[in-house]
Amino acid sequence: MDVQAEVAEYFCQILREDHDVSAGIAAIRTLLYFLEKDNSKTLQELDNKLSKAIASMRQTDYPITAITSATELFRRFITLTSLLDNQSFDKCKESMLSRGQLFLNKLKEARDKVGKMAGPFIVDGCKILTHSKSRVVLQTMKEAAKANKRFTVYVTCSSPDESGRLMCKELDAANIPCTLILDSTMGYVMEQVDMVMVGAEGVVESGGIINKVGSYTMAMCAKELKKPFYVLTESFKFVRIYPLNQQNLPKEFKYSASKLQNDLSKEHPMVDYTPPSFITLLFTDLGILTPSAVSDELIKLYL
Amino acid sequence: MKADSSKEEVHPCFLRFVTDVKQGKYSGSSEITSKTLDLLKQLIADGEFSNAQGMMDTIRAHGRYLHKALPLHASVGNMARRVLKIVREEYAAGSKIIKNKSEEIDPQESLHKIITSVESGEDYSSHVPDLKSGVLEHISEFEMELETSIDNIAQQAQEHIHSNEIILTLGMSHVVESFLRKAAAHRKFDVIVVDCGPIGKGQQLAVSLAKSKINTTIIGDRAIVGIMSRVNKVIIGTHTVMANGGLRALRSCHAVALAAKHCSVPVFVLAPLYKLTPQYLCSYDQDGFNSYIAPDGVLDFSDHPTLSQIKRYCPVFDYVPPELITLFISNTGGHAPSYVYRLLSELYHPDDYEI
Amino acid sequence: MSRGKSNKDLESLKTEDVVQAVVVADNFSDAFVPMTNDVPSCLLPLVNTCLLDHTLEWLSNAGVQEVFLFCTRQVEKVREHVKNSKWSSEASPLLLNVIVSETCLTLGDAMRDLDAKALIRGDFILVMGDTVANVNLSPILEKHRRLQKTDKGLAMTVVYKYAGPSHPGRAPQDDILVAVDKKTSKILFHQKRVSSPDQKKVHIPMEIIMDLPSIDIYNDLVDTHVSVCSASVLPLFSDNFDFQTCEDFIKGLLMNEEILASSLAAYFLSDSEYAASVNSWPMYRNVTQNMIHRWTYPLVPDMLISDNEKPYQYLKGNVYKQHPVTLSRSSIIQDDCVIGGGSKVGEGSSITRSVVGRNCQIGNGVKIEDSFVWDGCIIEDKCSIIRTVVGCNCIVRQGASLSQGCILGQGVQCPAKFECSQRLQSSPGDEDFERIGDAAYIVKLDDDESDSEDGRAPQIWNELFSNENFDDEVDADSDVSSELSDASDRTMSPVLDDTNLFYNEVVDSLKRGFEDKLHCDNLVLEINSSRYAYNVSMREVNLLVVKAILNLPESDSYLTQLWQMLTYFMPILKNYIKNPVAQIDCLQALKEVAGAESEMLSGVVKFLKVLYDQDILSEELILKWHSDLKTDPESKDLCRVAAPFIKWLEEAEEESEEESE
Repeated sequence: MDVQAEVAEYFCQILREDHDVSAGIAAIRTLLYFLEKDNSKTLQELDNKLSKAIASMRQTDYPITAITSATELFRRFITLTSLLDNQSFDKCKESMLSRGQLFLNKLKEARDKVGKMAGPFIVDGCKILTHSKSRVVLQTMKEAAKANKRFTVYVTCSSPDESGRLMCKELDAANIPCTLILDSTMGYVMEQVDMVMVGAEGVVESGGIINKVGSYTMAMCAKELKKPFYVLTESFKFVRIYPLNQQNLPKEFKYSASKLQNDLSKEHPMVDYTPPSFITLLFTDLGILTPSAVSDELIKLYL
Repeated sequence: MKADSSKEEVHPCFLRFVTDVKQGKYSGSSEITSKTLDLLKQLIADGEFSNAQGMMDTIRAHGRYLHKALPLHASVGNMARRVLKIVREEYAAGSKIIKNKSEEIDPQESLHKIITSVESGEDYSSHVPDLKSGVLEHISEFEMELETSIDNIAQQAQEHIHSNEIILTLGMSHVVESFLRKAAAHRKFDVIVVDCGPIGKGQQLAVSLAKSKINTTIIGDRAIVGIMSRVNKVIIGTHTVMANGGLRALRSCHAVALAAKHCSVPVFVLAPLYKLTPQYLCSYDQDGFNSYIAPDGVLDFSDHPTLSQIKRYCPVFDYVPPELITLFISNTGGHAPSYVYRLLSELYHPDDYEI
Repeated sequence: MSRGKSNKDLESLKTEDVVQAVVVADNFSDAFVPMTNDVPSCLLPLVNTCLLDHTLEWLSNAGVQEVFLFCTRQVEKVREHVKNSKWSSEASPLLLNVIVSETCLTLGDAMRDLDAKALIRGDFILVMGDTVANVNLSPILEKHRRLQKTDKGLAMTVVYKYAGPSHPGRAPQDDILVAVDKKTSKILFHQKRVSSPDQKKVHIPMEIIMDLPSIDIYNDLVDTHVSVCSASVLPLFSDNFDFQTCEDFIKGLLMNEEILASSLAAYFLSDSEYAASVNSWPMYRNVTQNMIHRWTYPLVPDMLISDNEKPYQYLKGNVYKQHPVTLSRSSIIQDDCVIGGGSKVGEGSSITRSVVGRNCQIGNGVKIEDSFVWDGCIIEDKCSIIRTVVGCNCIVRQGASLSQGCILGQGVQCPAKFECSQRLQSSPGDEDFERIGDAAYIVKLDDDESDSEDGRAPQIWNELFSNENFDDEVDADSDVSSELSDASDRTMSPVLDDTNLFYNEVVDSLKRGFEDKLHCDNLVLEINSSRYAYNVSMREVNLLVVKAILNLPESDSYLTQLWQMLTYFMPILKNYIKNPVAQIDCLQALKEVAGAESEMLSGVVKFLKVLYDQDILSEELILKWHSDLKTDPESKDLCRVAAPFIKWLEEAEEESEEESE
């Protein structure tokens, strides 16, 4: 049992120490660390242990969507690698570790790539509305500011955790003019802005996104006022679920692990689901995708 | 790909071509497109290349030159992309034979590739015998496809136009013209042409259709909404199809599409595949998205008392968002706007999106 | 210096199919001093591309295959420029021949020289090297050839553009009146005129109207200085060495149609076509604006492709931004602006309706309005630059304020906190120009040289924005007043021998004309031709003609004779005295004559009264002239004599003011 506790601890430690790491990357790093320490003799055993490790990470209070998508991707990686190298288990594990590092590096590059894709869409003199805090959005904006573009940003403070304040602080530090607005001001601000740019915790098969609660509201507002709604996200956030509506979204996605035992009807959901019809484009490290291209991507992977 | 390759000498016939286009010696995008392909073919035939990389660099440099010199003719850049893709394919085919690699190289960046950690940076430096002849042959095939693309689209006319329908179209488009003519050979229907003057030349189309004994009515732009409720189908051509399935088309197209949406009239866009461009609308101020011509159609130069006080714009194009379009009809069949990304990834290599 | 002979395409064409154009790379005037001190006028930048490139780009787009570039001044610079441009490359669509003739002083000389060199084979297109146009030449050529079939003597098709009087797209000196035969588009009558309200009448000879069923008379045309010439044009210039300008040529041909057996045709551009020659500051400004407003499409900044140039981005509000421009957050770029690549704009600066060249450094809190800042300038903090031209590589130090037609020549360093509305240049020149800073001297235009091609002196300092009144009335008023004081402050240059000879000829002509009752129009022509013969500036002509008229009457019955002569010569006076500057000359002449001859004093009031009644002299100027006289001890008598009239004027003014209240 203490292996699992160790995994969870390692995972939390990464996220505590480095604020620039997203939960997905942290999960994969943790699993790679776990793989290194692991002493399983067979694939089956490894798989079982991995499941337990993943489960332990899901018990933490960090957003579960990203953990789910990243860990699922990792398991896929394990399976595919073992298929590629079907010799002895030891050799297989060796290549897993070396390829794993490559894999991780690629994921780390993802944010830069997204920034590059989305850069041209921030034009001189534009006004952008964003929701909550997203590292990808922040980095893209920083890049754009470096490229001498003049733009202003509206950030919702995004209750209940008020992560928008953090975003605003970071933008201020980067010398990008930004205004913190109340969540309820969304509709008021919408008419002045040129576009909405949000990050995502997860991208689902339909091409919709799971993101901080309020994103759906924002997307609806944007659609009503005919403003483009752009999503910036790394590809490891693609999850294999197909929510039909908000209720359909898995409970563990909506509520942090510690609150799952409580009476959920009294709890605030942390995320909501934005259907694809509200999304103009998704900027990912795989390229600029229309929502319909997302399912294509997922099918290619999990065929 | 690299910035310094732009310094390369540009082949003189490309310079001549640019001048010719500017002098208006070519009419219509299909002519310009096939001429571009001709030039690129000639470039490959004339050049000495040690490997595929060199060939691609040259093509890219020239493609970039044309793209810069003729920013409005997006199909010119598309041709360069297509030829690059052809070179890549031929190279892959050639090296497969040598190295006996059976592995399919999927150019598209994908999650799958990230996981399997395949190196995406392909190497085009090794020598492939008969690369040039292979590429030239392949280009010839493509040329054929290009030549027949308008006919191929016209072949589908009967599936889309039924008897006694009222079709609305706008401006002058060769594709639409041949499409309607083909349909008229079998069916009887009415056509309403939106004039879209002074740049649209709708009258030309109306005259030509009337000559082919099609019942044709011409209307002014302002009558679009009024007449839409009577229309069964809107069939238009376009200048470019953008990567998200939106259109860069003659101005008034957006109005037509909106009116059609309002009246629930389906909008069909006839677009040969060479019009597909891996370009997105970032903003209306974007480089080379729209073209603003001399504003004489808006206000006459001799209307002097107002000249200094009024701003005049005369844009050529409209952006039509994909949600207003029902179906694209290309030379390979009908496609939904949401499918355009797929076609794009089949037509071009993602590294070539940015020439 | 012919290039690109290997051009197979061109060689294979039949000689008569090759469209040839002659580009005259000089405007034969000093309109752009001090900018043209060391750069030829055709290399001045207009919207960050030099005029010659605009012209050549147009010609190549318009289907011209061979160009003869005729250089007279600063030939090396033109040659260097052409050598480095795309026009001399292998693939250039133009076969460009540079012809050098440094002795030419006028267009006529150039044409004669061209005739002597015998390079032109057939019909050719004649344009100035400062033309900005988008006209397709083939229909004009076609029409010219069609007309040639019916009229063997057709020498030239002149291209006109419609633009009503006081149209912002035309310069005041370009106002013309043209009568054209409706059927054959032959030009029957051509007159240069100034659109001042005092000239309401136009004389058109009866025979023009009598002979033809229908003629069109236009006063809403602008001469584009583009023309299609038959091969006979060059010999015509050679045979008539008094043809100095295109204007002379047209006039001469019309006057002596039978003798020269040549005729002219007119071609009118449609509204979608644009052509203009940038031969003065007002035209510079007009054409720049028209280009920014895209009348010149496809010759607009975002379409101009010279291969080593970065592209321009066209933004809303007609703002053109070349890559890479660094704009600070609080800077404002609005309305009809062009910003060249590599330029930086500091915090709180605003740029409105202006063109900024490449690699300019604009500091914080700078205000630039209606101005042209050329390449490589440094404008320091808190400067204000309004209606100004700043030449290449100028430095404007902190807090300087340049306004109202100020023109800084290349490399001027304008000192801090300096206020200026004059022309400055960086070197002292031959004469001792007033020194203002390390590299800043006030330019004085020499009258002898300022004889502009169009026959109207362009020396008004503030002419750059002189026809501003459409934009804002208040500023235009202040313009006028400052321009008047500038002009009248200037002393006339000493009368040279040539000028004396000219004066004698004028006196002879007038005397003969009065005795033989010759028509005044003919006298004007006579005076004009002697003017060219002796190379006298327009301002001197004004001065001397008035002097001559005043001196004509015999001293015994001076008053009566003066009265008769004034009435008789009124058309001549009206012809010459038609703008504020000429009025100043006229009054100066009066002062000089009255100072010398005592009889004249008695006629002063009469003279003033008649000219005032005829609207030749304006009240404002007379009053100013008189107040200047008061300070001059030598003209005490004159001042005294004129006083009653001045008093009357002032009273009349008060009355009218009262009435209006």
